[in-house]
Amino acid sequence: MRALLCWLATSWLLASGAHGQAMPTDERGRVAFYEVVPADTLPAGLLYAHAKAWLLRRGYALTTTDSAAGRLVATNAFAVYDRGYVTKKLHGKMQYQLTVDVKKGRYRQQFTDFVFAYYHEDRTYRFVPTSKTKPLEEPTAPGWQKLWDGHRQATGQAVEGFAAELKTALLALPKPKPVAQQPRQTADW
Amino acid sequence: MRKTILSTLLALGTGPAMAQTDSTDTGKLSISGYIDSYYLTAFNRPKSGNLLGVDQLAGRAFDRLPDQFALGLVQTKFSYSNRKSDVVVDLTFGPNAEMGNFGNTTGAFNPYRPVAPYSAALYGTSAAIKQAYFTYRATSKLSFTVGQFGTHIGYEVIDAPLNYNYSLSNLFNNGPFYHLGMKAAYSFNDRAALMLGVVNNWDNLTDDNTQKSLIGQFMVKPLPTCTVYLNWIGGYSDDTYLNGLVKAGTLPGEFSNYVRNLYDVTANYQVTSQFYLGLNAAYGRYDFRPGNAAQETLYTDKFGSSQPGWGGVALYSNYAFSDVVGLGVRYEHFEDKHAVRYLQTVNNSITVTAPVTLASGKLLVKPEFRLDTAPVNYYENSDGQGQKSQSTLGVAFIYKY
Repeated sequence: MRALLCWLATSWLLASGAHGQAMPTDERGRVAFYEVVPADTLPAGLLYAHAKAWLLRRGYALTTTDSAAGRLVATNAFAVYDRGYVTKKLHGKMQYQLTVDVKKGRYRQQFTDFVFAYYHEDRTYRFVPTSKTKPLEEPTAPGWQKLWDGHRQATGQAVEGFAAELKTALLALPKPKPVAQQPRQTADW
Repeated sequence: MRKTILSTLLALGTGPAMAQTDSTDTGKLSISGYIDSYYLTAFNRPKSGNLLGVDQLAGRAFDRLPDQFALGLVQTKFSYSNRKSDVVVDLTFGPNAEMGNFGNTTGAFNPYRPVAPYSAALYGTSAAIKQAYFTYRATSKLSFTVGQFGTHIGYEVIDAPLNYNYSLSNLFNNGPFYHLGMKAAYSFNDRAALMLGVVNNWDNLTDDNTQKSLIGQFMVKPLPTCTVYLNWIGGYSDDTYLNGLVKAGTLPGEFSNYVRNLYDVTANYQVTSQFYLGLNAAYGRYDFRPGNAAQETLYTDKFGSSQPGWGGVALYSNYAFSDVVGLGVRYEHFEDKHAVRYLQTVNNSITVTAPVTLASGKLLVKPEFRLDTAPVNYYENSDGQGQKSQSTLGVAFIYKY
């Protein structure tokens, strides 16, 4: 009996936790993913250049580019999907802002301002935005809680992926310049 | 082996929604569809048991059967998409699938369309095709589409999940449903696009003459939350029904000498994240070409004018109380005083719909009330006599996947 009660209590707790899973937040209570990454030998200028190149390559819209302050702010969005029985369907896009601050030997990344943009099918079945949005901070979604939990989970996974890509891009060491080959000195010149 | 296959299938069907880092990824192959059914009651208790009006002429189209559970339509849509092309095969079955192929079907589901002399009879599997077309993206701005595709005209569509109100408007019922032909679309930018094409007239799987109709659409987004479509279709002698009456000898040959144009404006505006407004206005006209006074009289005797027209306006407003419950009201004024379309009268209607969205958006339950009024005794009462108004209350069930 005790074992059964323990099992039930654990299951209930796990179920409660899955409903509206906790996400990291900033001091304003907004969902934010924050990390300072060491980059021992790299100067701020190089980090800045790498960051800017990566943001442009990945299709971010740059809103702030301040090389003097070492700050880049950009926005982007990634698709989140409804579970399809055979294939997945677009449900909406998660919009967010990425701020990269660089200093000598380190950089700081902040993924913030997450907003889910609803999409729907128009008369030609193309998925188009509805202009309706939902902040990621909202833990509940009446009528589609499980799907919303999935989107929140997917956001965490996506940010992990972006952070890893960004780290790889920023920490890439510059390729050494090839040394110019000196012509062989021969007696017969 | 069986366990592996089963596990794989289950994983595909029940895995969590996965984030994608590529914002343009819409998948390669997509299978989707829906089923819809309804139950409604008509307070005028029409003796005929349908909502086609006292003359059994027209009236409601896709929700004609009161006081019974009725199946609307079953759709399965296959689409394949890659960077340069799409193909869509949109198959439908059921009573309203026949309606979707309006003009091509004969028999019990199309009682107000004569079987003969309409030579564009539909056979077998063609009735299941609501759309079948491919699109080739020549450049990022220019694309070409060939095949059978839904009309660009109007605000509403056949597909129940895409309409807010379940009962379709007179503007929709009296306009084209689909076209078979070719069109080109050019996107100037995110806020403007143009489409031009040539088609087998209105709702023609097969053309009844060598004349084609031209189609056009100009889209403009004055605001990110507002889109306006200016639509047009025009052609010479493009009314297959009218032409059929001429061929049968019911009408003289002069009635195939006309140009028909339909102009349509559709707009939508997401005022706030919860409040939405929509507008549809259309005007169509037949321009008969009387060569003399006698011909002028011929047209005037039949239609009241040698340039008989029809048209209407519908206003839509929706409010989303939450992701689950909303409320929408549609008001429509439609005129067919010259009896060139199916309604053949003037109609004012108001439709109130309160959709409930369940099962993560898969199930839509739509309670709906509709009131129609006409200046003549258009609607049928329990004695089979005409009356000037009709009100219905019902609920529609739409499951989409």
